[in-house]
Amino acid sequence: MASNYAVGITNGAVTAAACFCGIDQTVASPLRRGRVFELEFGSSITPADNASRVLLQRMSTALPTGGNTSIAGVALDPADPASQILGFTANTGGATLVSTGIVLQVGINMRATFRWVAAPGKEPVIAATQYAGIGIVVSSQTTAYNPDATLMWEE
Amino acid sequence: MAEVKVTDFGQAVSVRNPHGGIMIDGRHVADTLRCCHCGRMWIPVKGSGRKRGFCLKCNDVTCGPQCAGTCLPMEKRLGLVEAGKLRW
Repeated sequence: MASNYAVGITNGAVTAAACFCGIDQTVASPLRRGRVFELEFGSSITPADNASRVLLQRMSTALPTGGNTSIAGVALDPADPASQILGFTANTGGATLVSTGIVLQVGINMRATFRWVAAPGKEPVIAATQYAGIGIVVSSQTTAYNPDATLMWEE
Repeated sequence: MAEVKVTDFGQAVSVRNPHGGIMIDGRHVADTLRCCHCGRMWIPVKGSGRKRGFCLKCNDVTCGPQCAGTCLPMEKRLGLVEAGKLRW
C-alpha cells in the first residue's frame, strides 16, 4: 500500500535557479516512484504586496546542494516506514532544473496562501531512477522575501 | 526588480473532471488539468486562446500541439526514462 510523506520549510531563503522545496530519488536503484499530490506556498512574515513566480519543476542529473539536503519525509501515517525519496529545501545549486519539465507555473501574492491538490491518479510522477526529482522553484520575486512551502508525496 | 505577474484566477473555468484544484486562502479558485503525455498541468482559462488537444488513444487531454502528435502515454514515458532510453 502506498505511503504518504511531507517535507516543508518556513522562512526559507530563495535562490532563483535552484530547488526551494522538493523531493529527489537519492538511492542508486530506487524501487518506487513518487507522486506529488499536494503543495502549499505562502508566507508567515509581515505581509506586503510582493509576488513570487512559483514553478513546480522536474530535476535531474544530480541532487540539490546547499540549504537543507536529504531530509527524511515526515510520514503522514506514523506506522509507515521511512521514505525512500528524500526532501530538499532552500537549496542553492546542484540538481539540473529540466527546462521542459515545468509542470505548473503560477504567480502568487505574498499575502495569499496557495494550495494545489491533485485528483487521485492525476499526480505528477517522478520516475524510479536516481536523481529524478521534482520541486518548487521560486524563479523570481518582485522583492526578495523568505516564503514557506510544503510538498506532500506518495510512494 | 523582477517582473512577476500574479496569476488571475478570475477567468478560470471549471471542468467536469478536474485533475486537480487550486485554493487561495482556503477558497477553491481554479481547476487544473494534466497532459496525459508529458504530465504538464495548466489552469483552463476562458478565452485564453491557448490551443489544447485530446488524445483519442488515451481518451484524455493533452497540453498543446507539441504533445498532440505521437501518442506517448505518461506510463510509457516513465518506463522509457527508467530504462534509460529517454530523458525527461
